[in-house]
Amino acid sequence: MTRSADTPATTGPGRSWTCSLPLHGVHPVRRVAFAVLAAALVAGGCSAGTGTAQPDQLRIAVAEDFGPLNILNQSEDPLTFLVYDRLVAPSPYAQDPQPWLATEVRNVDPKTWMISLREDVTWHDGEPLTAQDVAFTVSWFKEVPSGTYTHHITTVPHIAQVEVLDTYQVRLTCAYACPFLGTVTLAHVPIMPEHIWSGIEEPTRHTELPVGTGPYRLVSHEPGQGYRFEANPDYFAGEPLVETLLMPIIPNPTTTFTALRTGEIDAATQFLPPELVEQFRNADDIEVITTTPLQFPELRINYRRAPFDDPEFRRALSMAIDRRELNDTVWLGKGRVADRGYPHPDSPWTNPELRTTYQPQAARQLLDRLGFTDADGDGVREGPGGPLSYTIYVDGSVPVRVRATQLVAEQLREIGIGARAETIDTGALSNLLDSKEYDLYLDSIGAHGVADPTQFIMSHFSGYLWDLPEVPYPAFQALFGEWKAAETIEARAGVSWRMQELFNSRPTAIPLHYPSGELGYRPEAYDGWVESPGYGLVHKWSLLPREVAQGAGAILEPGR
Amino acid sequence: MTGTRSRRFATAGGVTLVLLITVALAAPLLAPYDPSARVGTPFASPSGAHPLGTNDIGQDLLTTLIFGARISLLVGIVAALAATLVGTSIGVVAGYARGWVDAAVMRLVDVVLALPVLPLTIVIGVFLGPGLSTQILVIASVIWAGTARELRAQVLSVREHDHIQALWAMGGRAGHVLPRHVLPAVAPLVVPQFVLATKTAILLEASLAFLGLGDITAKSWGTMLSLAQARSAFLTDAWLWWVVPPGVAIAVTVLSFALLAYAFEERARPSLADRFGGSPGTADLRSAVPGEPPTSGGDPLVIDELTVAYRDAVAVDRMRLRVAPAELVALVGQSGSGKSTVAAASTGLLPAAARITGGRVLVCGQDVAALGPEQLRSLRGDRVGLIPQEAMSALDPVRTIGDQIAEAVTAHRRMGRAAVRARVGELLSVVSLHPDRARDYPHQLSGGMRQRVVIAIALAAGPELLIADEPTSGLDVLVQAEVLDLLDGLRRRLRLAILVVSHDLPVVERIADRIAVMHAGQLVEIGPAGRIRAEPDHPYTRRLVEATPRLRLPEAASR
Amino acid sequence: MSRLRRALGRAGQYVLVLVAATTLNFLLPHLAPGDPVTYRYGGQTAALTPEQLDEVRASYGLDAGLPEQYWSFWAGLVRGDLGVSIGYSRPVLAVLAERLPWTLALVGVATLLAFGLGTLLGAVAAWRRGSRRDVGIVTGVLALDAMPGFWVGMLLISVFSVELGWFPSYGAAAITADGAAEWVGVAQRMVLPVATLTLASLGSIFLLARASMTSVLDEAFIRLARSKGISERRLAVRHALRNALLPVYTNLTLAVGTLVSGAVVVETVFAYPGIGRMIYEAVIARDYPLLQGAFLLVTVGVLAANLLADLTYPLLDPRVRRSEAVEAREPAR
Repeated sequence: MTRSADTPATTGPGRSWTCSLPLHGVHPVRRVAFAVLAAALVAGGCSAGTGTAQPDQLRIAVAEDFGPLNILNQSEDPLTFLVYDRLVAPSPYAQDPQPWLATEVRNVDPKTWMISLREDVTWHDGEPLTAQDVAFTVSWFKEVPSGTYTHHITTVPHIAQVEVLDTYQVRLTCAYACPFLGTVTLAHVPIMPEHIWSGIEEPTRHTELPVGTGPYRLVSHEPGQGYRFEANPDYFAGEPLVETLLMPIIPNPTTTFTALRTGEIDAATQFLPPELVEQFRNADDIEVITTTPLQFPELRINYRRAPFDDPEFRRALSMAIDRRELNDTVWLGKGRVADRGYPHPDSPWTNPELRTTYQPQAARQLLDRLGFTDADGDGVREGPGGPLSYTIYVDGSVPVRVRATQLVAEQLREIGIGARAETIDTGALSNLLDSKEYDLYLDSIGAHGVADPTQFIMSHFSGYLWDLPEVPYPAFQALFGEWKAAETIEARAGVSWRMQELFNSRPTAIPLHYPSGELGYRPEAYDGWVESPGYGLVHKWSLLPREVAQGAGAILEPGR
Repeated sequence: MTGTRSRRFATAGGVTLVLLITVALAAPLLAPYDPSARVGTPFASPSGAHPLGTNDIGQDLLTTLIFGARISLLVGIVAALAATLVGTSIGVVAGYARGWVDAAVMRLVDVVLALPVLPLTIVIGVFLGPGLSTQILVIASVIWAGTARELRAQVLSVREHDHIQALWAMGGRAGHVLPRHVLPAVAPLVVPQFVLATKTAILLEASLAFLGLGDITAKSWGTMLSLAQARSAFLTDAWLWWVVPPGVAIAVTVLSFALLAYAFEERARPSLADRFGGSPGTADLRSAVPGEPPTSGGDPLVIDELTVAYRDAVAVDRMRLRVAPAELVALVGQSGSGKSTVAAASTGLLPAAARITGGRVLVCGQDVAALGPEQLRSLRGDRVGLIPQEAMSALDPVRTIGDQIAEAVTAHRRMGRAAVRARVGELLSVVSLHPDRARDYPHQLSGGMRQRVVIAIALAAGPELLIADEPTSGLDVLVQAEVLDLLDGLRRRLRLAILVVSHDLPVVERIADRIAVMHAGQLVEIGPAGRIRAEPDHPYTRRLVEATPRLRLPEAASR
Repeated sequence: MSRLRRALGRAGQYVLVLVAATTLNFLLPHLAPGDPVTYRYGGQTAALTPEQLDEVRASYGLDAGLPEQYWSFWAGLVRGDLGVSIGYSRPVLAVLAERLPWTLALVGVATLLAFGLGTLLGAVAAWRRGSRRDVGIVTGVLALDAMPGFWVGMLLISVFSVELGWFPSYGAAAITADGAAEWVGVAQRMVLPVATLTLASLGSIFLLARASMTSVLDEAFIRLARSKGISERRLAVRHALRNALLPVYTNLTLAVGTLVSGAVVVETVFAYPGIGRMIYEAVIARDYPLLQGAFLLVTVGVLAANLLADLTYPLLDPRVRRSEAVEAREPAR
């Protein structure tokens, strides 16, 4: 879910791994085949790398009730993937994903992938995991309305055929070249048990507790109250370090952090508000880790409406946003100035050369040139459709975003665009994209949107960044043609970078700030927390033996 | 006393409110900064430049607080005005029209009252979108119903008043009766309703803001608070300067409205203490004070130079009176003459506002004023029984009469259950009621029967003295005679000393041994009933005797 | 005969109110912009295709026109079926059944406390009206009444959870405990929310009780009772308070509505899994079936409380115990 608690803040002095990202190339990960590594690790047992005694249970606050983790409804990746696993770990956002449920994921030709499964994996109910489950997952997601998993199977990429070769061998064939399948798609899609889901008529209304292969079983979900997870002792990658996870649902951040301070919870998935960071850092019994959340708040522009349908007009808007002022004032100078455009610069798939800078004078000149001038001298320019006066909607329940919106409105007024912030409720805001009834609004976008290279393409078809094929976009469509034709990751990345350049020169969503995410926990309860890209600290990699997580390429090496 | 109290409340509330409104109006002059300007570093602690620190984007919090008065008061007052206007109109019309209009309107009110206010507000707010006018509309639309219901009830009761009934009977038109007679009668209640509505509106606004459904760009105290909590002020020291001031501001505003409402309500419902009170004594009458020589003992009731004052007004002035065993003395005077004060003083039941400033009352030789609460308690009922005014309402409506009589018995004697029951039956027989009546509730008895029960209660512990304060008020003539005859018989049979207080000379003269006449707090004449009737000395008594039409009951009927 | 007719008429009125309130409850959420299916399944990256969204809408019957939906809502209601919550993918009845006990416990205890405390304070204040004690109590209670509920709740957390550590700061049940310990946890976790809710609703009950007590103390029967020489305590409790209770009791049902509103705020502050917070979340998510069910529940609850007060009132007041029982009182107090 991308409905994040937009709080963020501090980047400490940028995490080292960010700087070491190769600037001119994504690692070619054509073949991901470290078959034996995981098995070796399992054999090695479960020695934790932390040295502290492992607790029987941890209490971790979550901000929202995600229901009984039905993958088709509310899904919250860090929770979902305690229960489920993917063929490749840990996620599409990591730099160097490794086979996980698979022992080998091999690109035999541009359109064909061979997958070999581990043979020692069982579902929580004792059934073995087989190639049938993989085949079922692919065809099931094609049929059921899952949104994200569906369109990454039917569209980008398009898996045309799935063949079960034997109990542990599957071949996937794409409709067009799919070099990203191994490192992105298979690191994204969870593998679902055929024996559970094949018989369910209305899967979106299925409310039984999930059956997965993951390190934890969800043993109870009390609506509105919380979750209880129990360790899966037979987990193939090693027994989890903590026996029981209790996750109370606490929507109000103040209540959450009060509970953290009083010791009623041991950790929280909500980011610490910037104003609390210092206080919690100074507390003796609380540890704070700065993570880099792959998400940001952004200004969305309705490219269907004049004058926003004019790429030059959108460019002028982008140049009018003073991202440094937003960073300093709204986000208290924490996090990073969003001057590197869309998608997130920390994604391994983002063009490192992107720059979006604040040039109010250039913006004014551009508007003048486009014929939007202030003829009546009231400070607001006029166009063919009258004065350029717009409302920027924002979710009234997230004060930081309201502040940002007010500031953005101020900045737009500086270049002669009459803008006004207006708060609406979350329900109305969530309907804007669908209803198309807006000029501008502020929202936030999560990891899948800003760090998954295939989603960037999809977002141009979904109505979010663009609405293909309803609204033609020749420049992008031409690049998309090239992209589909590219057969290697390098070639794809090259085209992706050009698409990103195109996008940022005429953005339909302008990132306002790259937040940092401080997460607090009580080290005396558990000290094994590590960051996995886009997932914060609370995820299965923090709860598995350190070597296992390292072997999967799942964690950012802590500097501690 | 309560009068000053309510005035004090009104003053406190009014002054605070005026102050708040002044602050709101003069906000641009008072506030140190422009409310939308970012003038400091975000989250700054209080300093000389920013006495309350700054908020999350560096706006001055003192400025925000001062400007907040504007929005909060605006929302509160406008919403309450609208709600009161609608509620009052609907309530008055419904109460006045009655019939199907009333039924329909009140069902609508019931519907609105049955809906949960806050969730409903949320839904309407979401439907109408954000903005101040929306908020006002939303808040008004959920709080009018309470006002309507209250006002309707009031109109219904005003309708029953005699003069309105009379106007109605004379063919008065609604267009005339409503504004001229009904509205003025209910107007005192509109004010507290308005004030309460304001209170509700201000609190609702704050709650909505807290839930993120207010207009966060409008700088009210509610949004200031909700912003503070959203920015973790409760977890840092900032709550001292960011949470407490707006919270206190809301509380003070609401409190000042509540105090006003309270004061208005008090004024509309004056207490008993203020209803008593006599006229100050006049000098020309004082010279002619007659009375009985002071005696120290013997008689069950001895009133000696008694002076009672309500604040500065003298209600009873140097009163002297004795009642001997088996004697029935009638104390007569018009209302306000101080006679009821004498009755109250004789049982130690003076209202809190009254003070005995001179003389004393001896009941069975004991100075009532000198007794402590516990001694007084054991005196009451046991030595002196009281038959209070308003016989119709002198019995507790929710307890059986047997229970009420038994209580009077057991207040002074420890007795077994059966003995108590027997005593209750006996007492009922004494007042000529069937013992089975013990199980009845007062509303099941006629007025005369109730007064008999009251007499039974007064007799329950076997007192030597009975004080009857207007024992016949509210009873019809025949019943009056019965009750008086009962008293007359009792004093002979039980050798009771009885003081009957009445404004009605002819009613009591028949049974009284002696008659005492009071005027303006003073005893103007006392003497045997026959003499007072035949040849009154004092001019006031003469007026009293002559002014009353003589309704002669046949002598035979009274014995 | 006339008694039966009156009872029937009364029942008819209740049904009428219920139907009207339910209709309003049905219409209002539908008028707000937004859509439950878009809220749940839309979004920028997880978006279903428009066709899939329509499919989901159809599966919840949301593709039909408003009149049709209204009709099927009633048809379902008659069968005891409140539909399926879109946000929870489960029958509305099941969702409500899970949440209701928590709110009932919260609101129930708070009602009793506010009633008891408010009446007691009101009676004490009225007993010596105008005295220093009266003024003190009135000012204190009005000041408490003037504080926003969430503010009080947060302050209580700051003091009793953070500083003193006496009570947990959130939730309804310690999900770590079982058996007896679980019930202790539940009770502990109820203390602060109940206190907040009680404080928030104390004021109106107090004022009512005080006014009622004041007028009762003016009654002649109090003078008579006092003249019997009974103790002041007995006088205050058996006569004055007993009679002063009547109007307070009849107005109690009105307080239920207020308390439910208070529950929305309190349950949000204390992360309490009750109906109040659920309603708020359902409004945001435009979960029409759940909202309709919840509003219906609250409405029925308020009316039931009304009815209960109607039916039990004669127990308190012998004057209406006879055939005139129903009529003697103002309707729907």
